[in-house]
Amino acid sequence: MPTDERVDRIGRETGGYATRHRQLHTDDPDFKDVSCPDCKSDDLEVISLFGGATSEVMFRCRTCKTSFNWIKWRGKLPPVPSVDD
Amino acid sequence: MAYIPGNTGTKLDKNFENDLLAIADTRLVLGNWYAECVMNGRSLPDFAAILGMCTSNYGHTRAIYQFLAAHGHDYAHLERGRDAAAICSMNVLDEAPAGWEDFIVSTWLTELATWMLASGFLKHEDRAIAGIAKKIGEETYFHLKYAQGWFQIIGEGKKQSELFQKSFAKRFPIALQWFGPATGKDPLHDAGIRDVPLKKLRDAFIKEASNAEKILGAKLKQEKSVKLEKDWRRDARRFGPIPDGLFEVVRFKDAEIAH
Repeated sequence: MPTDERVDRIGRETGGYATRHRQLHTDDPDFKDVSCPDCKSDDLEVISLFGGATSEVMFRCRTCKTSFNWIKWRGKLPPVPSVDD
Repeated sequence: MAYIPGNTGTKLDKNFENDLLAIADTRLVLGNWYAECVMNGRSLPDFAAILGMCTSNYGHTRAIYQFLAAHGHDYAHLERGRDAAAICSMNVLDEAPAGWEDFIVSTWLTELATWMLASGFLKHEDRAIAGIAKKIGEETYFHLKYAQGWFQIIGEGKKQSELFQKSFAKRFPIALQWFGPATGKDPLHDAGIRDVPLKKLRDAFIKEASNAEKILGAKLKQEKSVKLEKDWRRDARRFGPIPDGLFEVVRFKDAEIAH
């Protein structure tokens, strides 16, 4: 936070992070039903978990090279304790 | 008029109101953390993610403030009329991040803790608040996924892992205090307003936080119980006022010209 001088110590390391992110999320089971809207291929990679809007995941089709956004919310919730646990 | 679920204008149970405000204020401060730290992202996808999580958190705050306003509160006062002592955000956000690993640990613990508390209202008979809890969950699902992606990357570096462990050891006990004492009265559950006992939410938070070990690939020092600070307040779920520097960031700068 700019009100604290320690913010100056946060270094910026360059290279590799964006690529690494794609590798991490591309095979995510949450995206197994996603397919390319143009060629219907399911050979996709996640460009960004947050696309042009918060509600979108950005994909790139490896087959036809189309980039597209996919609405992410499908009712999935993080783990939650139940009264029955 | 006494609270009737679904009836706007009826007065909320005080403990219910306090917990909602604790979630809303924490998400407000978290949103500001994201806004302030976005340029420390490591890539454009990080910028997009951090800004996305920022707006989501502001949205959660706004939705809860509006719910409270529908039950007798003054929206303008909630949003921009309170001083530092009245803002009930988690203590874990009081101290600015010391580095990228600390930023990831702090924001992830805050997302997880606030989600746990909100999840207790998922089956609330008032559909407005149950809907807000569900929406917070749907969005937090992807915020946590983003953080977990970073756990893997951080876990690949020895120095980064050590910084993560150090941050976790410091921040986790502070985050755990948000849930209050491990034993004792649970008035919201007793009144049937929250269907899950607070102890279960607290235990689930501890369990989920410990799951980070598997992704990170390193041990995390996790205390199961923490001694609450002397001035810890149940109504605010925190001790002390938020620091002046943080208040300067989150306060509305020109309240008099707001509409």
